[in-house]
Formats: sequence, structure tokens, C-alpha cells
Amino acid sequence: MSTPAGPGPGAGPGPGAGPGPGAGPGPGATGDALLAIRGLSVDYGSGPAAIRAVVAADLTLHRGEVLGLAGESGSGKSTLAFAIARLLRPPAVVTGGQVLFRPLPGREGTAAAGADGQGPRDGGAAGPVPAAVDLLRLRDRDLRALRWDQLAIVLQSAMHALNPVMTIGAQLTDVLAAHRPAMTRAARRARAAELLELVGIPAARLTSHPHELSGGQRQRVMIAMATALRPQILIMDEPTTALDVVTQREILTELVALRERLGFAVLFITHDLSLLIEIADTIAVMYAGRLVEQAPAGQLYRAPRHPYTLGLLTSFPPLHGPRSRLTGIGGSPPDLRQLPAGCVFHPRCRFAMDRCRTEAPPLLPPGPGARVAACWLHHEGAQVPEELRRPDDAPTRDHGGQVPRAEHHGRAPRSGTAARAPGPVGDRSRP
Amino acid sequence: MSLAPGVPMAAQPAPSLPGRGHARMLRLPRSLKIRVGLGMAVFFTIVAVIGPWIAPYNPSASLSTTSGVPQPPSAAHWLGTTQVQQDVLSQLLAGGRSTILVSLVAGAVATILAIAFGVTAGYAGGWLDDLLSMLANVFLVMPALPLLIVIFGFLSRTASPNDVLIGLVISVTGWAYGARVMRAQTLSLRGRDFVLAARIAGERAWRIMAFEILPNLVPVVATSFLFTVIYGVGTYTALSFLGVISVAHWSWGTMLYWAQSAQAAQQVHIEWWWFLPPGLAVGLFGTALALLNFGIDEFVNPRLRAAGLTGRPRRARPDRRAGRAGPGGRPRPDRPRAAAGGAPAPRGGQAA
Amino acid sequence: MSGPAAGGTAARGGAPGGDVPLLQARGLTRNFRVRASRARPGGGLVRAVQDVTVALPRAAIIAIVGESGSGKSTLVKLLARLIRPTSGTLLLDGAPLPRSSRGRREFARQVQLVLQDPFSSLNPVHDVRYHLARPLRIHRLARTRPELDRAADGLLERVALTPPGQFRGKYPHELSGGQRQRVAIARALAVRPRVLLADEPVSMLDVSVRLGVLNLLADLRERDGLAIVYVTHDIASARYLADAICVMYAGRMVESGPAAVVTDAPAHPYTQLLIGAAPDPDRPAAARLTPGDAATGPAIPAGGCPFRPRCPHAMRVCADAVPALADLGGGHASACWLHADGLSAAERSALGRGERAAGLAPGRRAARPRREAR
Repeated sequence: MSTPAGPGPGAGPGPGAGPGPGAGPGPGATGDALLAIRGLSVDYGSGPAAIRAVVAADLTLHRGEVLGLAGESGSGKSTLAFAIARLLRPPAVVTGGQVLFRPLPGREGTAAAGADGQGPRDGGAAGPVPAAVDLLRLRDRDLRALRWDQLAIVLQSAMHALNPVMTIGAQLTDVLAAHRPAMTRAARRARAAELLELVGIPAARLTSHPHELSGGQRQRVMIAMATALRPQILIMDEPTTALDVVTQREILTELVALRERLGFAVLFITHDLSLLIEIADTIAVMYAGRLVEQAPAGQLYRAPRHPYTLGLLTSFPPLHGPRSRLTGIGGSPPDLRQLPAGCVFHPRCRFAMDRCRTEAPPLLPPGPGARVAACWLHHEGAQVPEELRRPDDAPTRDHGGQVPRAEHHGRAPRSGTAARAPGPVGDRSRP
Repeated sequence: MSLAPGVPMAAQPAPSLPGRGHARMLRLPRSLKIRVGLGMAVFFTIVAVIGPWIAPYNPSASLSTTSGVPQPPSAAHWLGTTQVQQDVLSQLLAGGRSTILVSLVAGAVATILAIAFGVTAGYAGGWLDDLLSMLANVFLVMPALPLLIVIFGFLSRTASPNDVLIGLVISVTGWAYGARVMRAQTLSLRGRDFVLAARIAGERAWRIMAFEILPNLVPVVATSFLFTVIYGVGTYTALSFLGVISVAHWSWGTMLYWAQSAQAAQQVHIEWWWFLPPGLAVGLFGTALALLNFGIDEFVNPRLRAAGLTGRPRRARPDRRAGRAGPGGRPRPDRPRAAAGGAPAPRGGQAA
Repeated sequence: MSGPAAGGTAARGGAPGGDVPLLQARGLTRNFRVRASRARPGGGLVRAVQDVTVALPRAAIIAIVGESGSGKSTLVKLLARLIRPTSGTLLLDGAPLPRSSRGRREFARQVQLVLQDPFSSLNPVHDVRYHLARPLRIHRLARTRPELDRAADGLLERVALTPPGQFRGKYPHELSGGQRQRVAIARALAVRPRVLLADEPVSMLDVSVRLGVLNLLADLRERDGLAIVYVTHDIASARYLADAICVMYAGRMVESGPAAVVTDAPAHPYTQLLIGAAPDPDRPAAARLTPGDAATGPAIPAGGCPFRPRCPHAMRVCADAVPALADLGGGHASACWLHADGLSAAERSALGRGERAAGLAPGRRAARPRREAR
């Protein structure tokens, strides 16, 4: 979140930035790396016909940060989220990588649960920084203890995630009972009521069933359940996609308020890049299972470095400003079964070079600053097009790809349409 | 012994027939179950066609009047004889044609009726749906066997019924369950957008039912057919065993009738080679159809097949897998395989 | 009470061919009777669409924007004549619609519908050729196989699925969502309609594909003079594609006008809420997601203005009567008592165009120049 007191956009890595690749923390992050994902790969199926849903993803989530993960279908973003939480089912399988989680001091174990249900007090106290644990290699018992207590996930279809025959109160207290055995029933009920109030639902709804609540309210209950144990990380996978835009804004506003109170970090996954620019500190963009760019939100918006990001940004019609024709990205979303050689984006890229067709670019900083992009344009002395080398603090959003729109005054048909980006426009083949 | 002509445990309307299709459809199915079932079904069909011709003896002919004791299997009589010295094997082969033919006719006609009633009811809605559903419910709760006994009792007084007629009569009691299933599936398909699009385009109702809805019901229809055939076998065998259907007409059930009545009337001990073959034949025929049923979904819906969802899922333990094949430079998949839905397909999803 | 036809003046501006709108709805109302249930003892009436008046000029694109439950889908079905209105009239070329089945078929030929879900709007057992050939055969536009193929190729090229020969034999599961939606549009175009009703055509598509389909719709209007009704919940895409926007809430039309005007200077409090809630990366950081934004609880009250439980400007008159559609000039109209006659000019300007009570996101920016109707 853009907190007023935080460092401005474009600042270098924050203090104590974790090791490893990936951009440094965005302006809202207040601490060191909380979750470090290194080289995570997920396949569907196995053998030569396996589909590589996520390929060597490197991401770092810092304490207190909102990291946005943007991508379309087939980008692997949801698979990534599920892999982190170890929720993948066969035929999906993690084929490599680590997910390193560094809990706060004093929060490693949950055995000593306080009677107030809040777990061991958030530390800060003396003690060495605890070692990171690899979530992918935890034993089931430890994983279960850690899941929800330290890492919670809110999924897309809230309508289906709640048990229709149990009341909301029962489901909330269920969570508490599972992780805080020391709590009494009265204490659990009180805490459940408190959680509901926190997300803006009157406590009287504890006895309601899910079908008696609206979609927005159900999603809020999911958020309440997810934050019940004060996790340090909240993963949200398209939490508001199925809701209308007003409810979406309300829920996100409440999420912001909750975050300010409880201080968790958020991994926010969505296809709506314009929403992420508003709410995220750092944004990572995925395409066909690979990370293609990562940067602080404002920089990504004003000065993208990867052609796909540029294309995405020009795919969202603006709410204000001149009404001109957008070109977006040509071609079709990738078919994961038949990916092109080299850079996976090159068939749709208007700046594709020869090298792009044969070699996949690594994720590297395109220049000074704490951001990364996987594009050959920024290396090897290639001529970087103007849209991709705007300075990080460029004032306005003008990404080219816009053509003044033919004002329509009548039925006179126009010959030809507005100029389109060169490249495979029109779906020539099923990619 | 009449089974309810049941249906589809899990057959959902398959989303598609294969694209380039037909070559793919003829590929031999993978699973052992289906191969065995298919083999058995083919075998029985062959028997049904050529059975009476390859029977070594006339099934009704008493080959000797000397002994009143069933003879065990021997070189001359592979399955032995009855107590009046009729060859059991010949009876089995002759009866095979009758039984199989009757059950196939019953299955086919009942399925056609089920489609007609079910799809119409599901698509039309309103009073027509109510009427047809009530009709189906009536036939469903009517006890089939007593009804058939009455009908056949009446029929055999007039003429000796042939196999097709018997099949038709049996199908009258066997269509109702399938009709309910067709109706349910049609109801769910009716709400799909492509049906609405067909209406908007101006298609007539019967065309929509026949060409838009019915092709999506093929796996359900196939399963319904198979189960109704099993029902037909069971019912026909039961009826002939009870002697309701003319006992001069050879079928597997008739063999059992004669065996049973010989025991009752003449206190002859029934030997295993007399009642086991027909009983086993009925059982194996039913088994063949049931095994075929397992394969229907996989056969028709290549997406399930390719994703391996019909096989046993391979269990993967990610936390034990340390440093397996790393990323980068894997060879491209050479055969396109459908991506199975893993957990994270977002709802209301985006384009593939 | 119909005010100026929505999108009338603005989109027409200078169009040759007369003033008679191509498709016009007057006072359309549609109620559904529901069975009694625990939540609604005694049954009741769902007022899906209430007194909606909208006019679609030739070769114009109007957008109908609303959230789920606003009645926009029912309105589309009414416009397509899939369901009959409880009251109100529908006119094609200014003439009422014939009731005969031949007349209905002719209407279906002129007014076509494209549906939201590309994954279920095509029959999975038929290939693209079949989907395109059926309407052609039904309406007798082509008969023999070569004729059908040629017509199908032409349609596929119109929707930019080239080379057409490659797509004709494909089945829906072999196509991507965007391609399927294009086939659905091609199917609708097969009968050469004059009006295309598009019910959320891009909501279920990937972001990078949406623009292609929207541009295709714009091209169809430019090249072939097709009039389009674009129904959506995304006001940004409505602004991009349409000449005029009509905003619906609880079955009523609450605002209408030229697209740029409605989005830059929304007059109705609900539109202001929508604009404020829509994601906007250009919104200054200070205005983002401040807690305490709009009231929740979208229960629709019985009488009066349906929006009043959530409206920051609700007055006593709002509970008494449904506001009439007030003309704000330049084709812009808003159904709100704030804009009705009777308020003084000062009151109106203070409370009306976009300025709001504190605490709500601004509906327009002071810095940006306002775009008036073309």
C-alpha cells in the first residue's frame, strides 16, 4: 500500500532485503523477506508430454508488502499460489524449487497457544532470527500447524468455499478450535464475533448460513476466516473477480484496514492489472508460466520494461482521458502444450529479434534500480524502443499503441481500420 | 431376477466427440476391463448369429430313449445331456440366439422410447413434461414381472410369440428409467447457451432436440442401452424360467425351466452340467455388457482419456522430491495431450 | 415517463438517414412472479425491468452498464424478443413488431444476439461449419454445400479468423475463448442483421483478447454500419466502445448520455459510485481506497427511488416517488430528484454534477477538461 510515510517509488531495495534474485521490496514493505520463492517449477503430468505450468519462478514477499501477481489464464499464477500452500493435487506436481518461509521471531511454533486465541505474542523480542523453513519439504504435521496459522489463502469462488450446511459461526469457530485447542467455547464464539465485526459484518450473522449472505459478504467471511489466526502471509487468488465493482472496492478497502491493523503481507493474484496498480506495492507479471517482469507498482505502470507488460497496460481501456483506439496485444494466449522456442512471448511481440526466437531471456535488471525484466531488448546493446525505456519517474501514462479514434459521424464506412501493431494479428492458428 | 434397467452412475453428457475424430474413436481402448468386455460381447454376438447352425444336434431331439438319467459331459456331448437325452450344448447354442436377440431388441426399443419420451419432456417443459413424466412414473412403479406374466399369458394363447415380439413387450416395461435420466440431462442441456443460440437462429424444436441435444447425450444413451439389455436378459430368462413364455421355444431360461420341472416332477437329481451353463451364460453376458459400460465414457470423450483420469491417478509426493529434473531445456511435448484440470482453474474462467 | 431517448442526440449527431431510431424500446417493463418461500412468504414479484426507454440509432453503439441484478440481461432478452414484456412497446424502424411467426422470424433476422459465455454458446459436437451453416440454411441464404462454404468463409474473414479454411473444420474445444467468441459473432452475422445485441461478450475472455473482440465490434460498425447494443458491467470498456452509455440500477435506467460525458461528469449518484469504484490506475494515490467508502446493503426498497438506501444525497422526496428522467442537455439525462426542476440552480450545481459530499471518491477530476458531446 502506498503509505504516506513510506519511501517514494523508485527507491532502492529496502533495508534488510533478502538475498536472491527478484526485485527489492516496494515502497510499502517495511521489513525483510518473509517468503522467498526460488526456482519453483510445477508440471501437470509427467514425462515428455508434461505441461509446464510454472517454470523456475523467483519471487520474494517482504514483511508488510502487498505483492501483486498479474497474468492471464495459462500464466501459472494460480498454480503458483497453490504450490506455495501445498494445495496442488495430481496430476499437478512440484518439480523443483524452494519456498522459504522466515517466520517472525516467536512465531515459529504454535504449540504454546494463548488463551485469547492469538497465539504467541508477535515477537520483536530478543532472540536470533529464526531459520527459514522450506514449505515444500515440511512434514504434514508441521505443514498443518503452519497452514492457516502463519499462511492463509483466500480463494476465488467464495460461494463454494463455505460449507452450505454449517452456519458461519460454526465454520469460524471450527478454524479456531483446530489451531487453538486451549480456547474455551465462549472465547471462540467471542473471537468469531470479533472477526466478523472486523470485516464489516454484524455479529448477529454468526447464526446465518452461507446462502443467506450475499456474495460480497461471503467473501468477507472468507477473509475473516483467513485472518482469524493472525497469519503473517495472506494469499488471495482472484478474491473479487466474481463480485461487482462496488463490492470489490468495499472489500479491498476493508482489507487495507485489516492490513494496517494486523500487519500481514499479501500476495494478491489477479488478472486485473489496473486494480493491482492501485493496491499493490510491487507487481510481478507472469506469462506462460514464467515471470517476465517485476517492479514497484508505480514504475511498472509508468515505465514498463517488458513488451508483454506494455501490451497488457494498453489492453485496459482508460476511464478518463482521450478516447482513442487501443491496439493491445495481437495473437492468442499461449497454448501450454505447444510453446514456441526461445522467448515464449516472441510470436506476439512487436519488437521480437532473432535472438528471441531461439533463446529464452533470463530475468535480470534492465538497468539500475530494483526491478527485473526478462527481455533481450535490454541486453546486448539492442535498440530499446521508446515505450520500453521511459524513465522510472515518468509523469504520465502514454504507452503508444494508441491511435486517435476516428470520430464517428454517420454511417459512412471507413476504408481500412486504425493501424494495428505489426505481428500476428488475427488468430492465424491455435498457438 | 429382473434388474431395474439402470443407468448411468456417472455418465455426464460428454462435452465433445473428438475433433478429427473418427480415426481416434476406433483406437483400441487401453483398459483391460474394456478389452475383456468387448471381447466377450463380440463372442456372444457371434454365438447369437451362428449358434443354431453349429449346434451338433437338434436341441429338442431326444437322442436316446433308453436312459432317464442325465449323462455327464463326454466326447459326444460336450456339456452332457438332459434326463431325456437332449444335448445340452445344442440347447445352449440355440437358446443363445433367442436370448441375445430378445434382449437386444428390448434394449433398443426401450432406449428409443426413453429418448423420445425423455428428451421431449425435458425440452418441452410445461404440461407436456408433466404428462410424459407422469407416464414414466407410472411405468416405473408398475411391477414389471407380474405385468409381463399377464401379457404373455394372454399372448401365448393366441399365437406362439417370436423373439422380436417378446423383445417389444419387454421393452414396454424397461423404458421408464432411461426416460427419467434423459429428461434430467435434457433439462440441464436446455439451459446451455448453444440451445438458446439455436432458438435465436430460428431452429425448429424437433431439430434442436434431434441435432443439438441428442448428440450430446450419446454416452448416456449408450449406457442406458447397455443396462436395458441386461434388464432384458434378466427379465426374459425369468419369464421363460417361470414357463410363462412358450417352453417349446429354446432359450437359456427355458433350459432352466426344464431342469427345474424335471427335478420337481420326476425327482431327478439335477446335474451341474444342466443348470450351470445357462446360468453362467446369462451371468457372463451381463458381465460383458457391464464391462463395456465402463469404457463408454473413455471411448467417447477423448479428453478424459488423454488426461488419464480414467486410469489410476499417479500419486506424487512433492516433499520427498529433492532436486528432480531441473528447469530449462526440456524437450517439447510431441503429442498434444489435453491438460487435465488441476486444482487452480479459476472459476468463471478466462480463455484457454 | 420517457425523457429524451438515450443516446439519441449525441450518437446521432449528423447521421444521415433520418431521425427514426433503428430499434426503440418505450417504457419496457418485465416482472417475474416468484413462488412463495421462506424468505418471501406469499410469493412476490421480481421487477426485473421497469419502465425502460432506450433508442438505438442506425450504425451506433450504445452501452448498457449495470451490475448483476440490475436487469440488463433481462433487458437484452426483451430487446431480442426472447421474452415478452409485461408492458411497454418495442419498435423496429419506428414500427411496432408483427406478432406472426413469420414476423418474428424476420425480426430474428434483423436483430441478433451474442451471448456471454463462449464456452457454452457453441455446441461441442458440431464443428464451426455447422454452426455457421445452420442460420444460413434456416433463413435460406445459401443452400448447396459450395454456397454454404463460401458464405462461411466470408463470415470467418469478417471476424478475422483467417485463413478460414483452417477454422471451418474445427470443433469448439479446439478453439480458444476469443476464437469461440468470434465464431459466435460470425454466426450472428450470418443472417445479415442490422442490430447486434451483445450480452457481456468479453467478460469471460482474457484481458489481452478482450480488446480484439471489442475492436472487432467497432470495425463491424465502421465497415458495415451495424448497430450494436453492448451490455456490460465494466464501464471502462463501455466508454471505449460505445457512443452512448445507459446506466441501469434495480431495473431502471438511471442515467444516459454520451459515453465521455457520463464517465467524466456523471450526474447520478449511482454512476458516480460506479466510476469511483472502478479500478483506475490514474487515480491519485490519496484518493485510493480510503476506508469509509460507500454504504453497503443493496436492499431495494419498495417505493420511490431504488437507490436511496445507498445515496448520500437522499432527500425526503426520494422516498415518495420514482424520479423522472431529467434532461441535462446535450443528450445527457439522469433520473434523480437532484436534477429535477424545482431545485434552485445553486442547489443543483452544488449537489448535481459530480461534486459530492465529503468521503466519496470524486467522479471527475478538476484538472481534466470535460469532453462534451460530439
